[in-house]
Amino acid sequence: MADVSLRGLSKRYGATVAVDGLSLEVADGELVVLLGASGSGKSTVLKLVAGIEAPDAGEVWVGGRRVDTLLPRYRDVAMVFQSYALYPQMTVAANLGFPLASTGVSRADIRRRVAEVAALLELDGLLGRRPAQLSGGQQQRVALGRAIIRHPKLFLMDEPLSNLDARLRAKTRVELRALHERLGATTLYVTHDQVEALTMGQRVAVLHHGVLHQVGSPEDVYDEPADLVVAELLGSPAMNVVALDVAPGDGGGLVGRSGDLAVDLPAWVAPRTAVVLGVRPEYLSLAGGAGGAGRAVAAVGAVVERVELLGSERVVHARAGPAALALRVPAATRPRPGDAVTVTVDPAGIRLFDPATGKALAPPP
Amino acid sequence: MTAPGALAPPPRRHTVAATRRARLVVVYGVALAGSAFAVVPLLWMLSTALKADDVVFSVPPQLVPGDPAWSNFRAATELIPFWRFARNSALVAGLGALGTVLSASLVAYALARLRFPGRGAVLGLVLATIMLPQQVLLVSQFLIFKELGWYGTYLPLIVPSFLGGGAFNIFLLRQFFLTLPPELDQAALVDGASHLRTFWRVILPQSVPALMAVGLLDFTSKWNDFLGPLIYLRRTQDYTLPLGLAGFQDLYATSWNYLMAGTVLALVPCVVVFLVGQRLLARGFAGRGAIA
Repeated sequence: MADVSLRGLSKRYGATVAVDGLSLEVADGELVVLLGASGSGKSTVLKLVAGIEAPDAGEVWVGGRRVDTLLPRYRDVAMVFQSYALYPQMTVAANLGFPLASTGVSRADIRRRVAEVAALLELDGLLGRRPAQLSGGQQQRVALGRAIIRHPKLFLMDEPLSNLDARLRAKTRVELRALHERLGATTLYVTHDQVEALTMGQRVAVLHHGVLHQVGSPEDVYDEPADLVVAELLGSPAMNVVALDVAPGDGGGLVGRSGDLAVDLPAWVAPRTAVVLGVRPEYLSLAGGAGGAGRAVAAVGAVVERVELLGSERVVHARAGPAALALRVPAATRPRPGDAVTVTVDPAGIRLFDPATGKALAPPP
Repeated sequence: MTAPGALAPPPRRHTVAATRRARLVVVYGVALAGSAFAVVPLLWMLSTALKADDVVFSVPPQLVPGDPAWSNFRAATELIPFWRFARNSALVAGLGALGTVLSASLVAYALARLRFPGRGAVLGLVLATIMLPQQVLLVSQFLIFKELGWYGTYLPLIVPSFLGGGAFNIFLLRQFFLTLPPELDQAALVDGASHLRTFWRVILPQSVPALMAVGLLDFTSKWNDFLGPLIYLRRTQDYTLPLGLAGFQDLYATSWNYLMAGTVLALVPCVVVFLVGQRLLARGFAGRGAIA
């Protein structure tokens, strides 16, 4: 296992910039999730680290060795592809053994290690089958096994769960996490699914249009997003974002307004005349309903537009003037479209962003 | 007749079954008409092979001769050294097809998967040569082989197959390789395989249908090649079948019946190879299965 250092990586395809000056440090044994929407460059980063593509600029260091000038086979890196990329003509055993056969390991050793990995991933009975005869989950495990068998310095995973059905995905997430803890393997994990990012990553790196926006623990990127891009990428339903006009309020403080919504703002917001308010759905509640917030600083009348049942909760979409708000309520509460409700805001959940740059605002030191 | 409450059955000519039948009639009709163009000459050839000398050009022409001369077949193999010619043909066509499949696939893999400066130019050059007919290159090629001292041997017929095997085959295989998912190559490269190993262990097994197609086409064309052996082979004992069968054509007369009999026999190995290859082709398609 080894630490990984990406330094100023850049890659463009024709006129499109896929990755732009990305630098990232991954500690030995750490699992870092690269989170981003499609087209954010995250798969390109993996290809650059694996050696499938060559960077236009920047360096890749693995285990203290510079590898970006080496062919993939000399980098000691293993990759699990989104489509698994199993060799269709070979049996599961041959697939698992291929990396070892390519590096001249003895046949007896190959057989032994294949058996070990098969036992670890519960593939024992399937060794004689071809990939076409396996289920999606089994194929995925074979792809994993093929990566594990080499004991490489670094694992690269490109959206390994996205081809699985929802139930299997949840189960495999837990297994992958357990596997990571067991092997202690340095892993770069790419996904567009923020749930995977939050549950699996020890750190999350948020990528957007080839640029790294924030790197931090799952709690950090969720609770303290560095900008609106990060804020809107994480959390489901997404963070509520409202543009506010700032003006002095009665009583000396600053107030941000949008339609009927009025929010008290801290003094350091001045001299700005506009800010963007971000507040996650869990910090909103319906006045008088169950789970009301303690000290609300703002309350606004809203009309319910849509209600979605999630099982144990409902997501209520309401409109307060120009602002669209989403909040969660226990399933027992049954607001209906058209109801007039009062939405209260818990101040603990308020985040402020600069309307021009989208960056999070913080009190001056 | 119909269950109570069910819809009335549609008029007879609009049912799904009737449409299917009508379509089949058209399809089979066209297929039979088309295959007639290929089959009728063969049947006529067989018919001529079974006629005695005086019956061959009788008017009106007989499709099935009254007294089939099966002995013509034996005569055809005895009047010329038929089996020797067949062995020579097998050597040239077999080795040639092998060389074509191997070298064309290597070149096609490089042009499909590897990136190197000037790749576009190389590809363009290779494709341009598809336009050149054999006759245009005849004189230049002959002079080259004569300089090399290969005149009178099988080398000019076999060696070029190992040097790329022809632009058409390269193009065909390149197009096929482009349809294979690049992730397979990428996975093999990351797994530690060299390009050659990736080619041999991952790409080729995936490509059996295309390789079979190229091999069969090449074998057939080399088996039937008349011009090449005519130019480069000197001694009668080296002749291939097409050349050998031409021995039935004298300056003054042609023994059509023996010629046709010999030709029918010469067809047999080709047909056998084709049938065997077809089965492997079908199995190749079935084995590809799901990639992911």
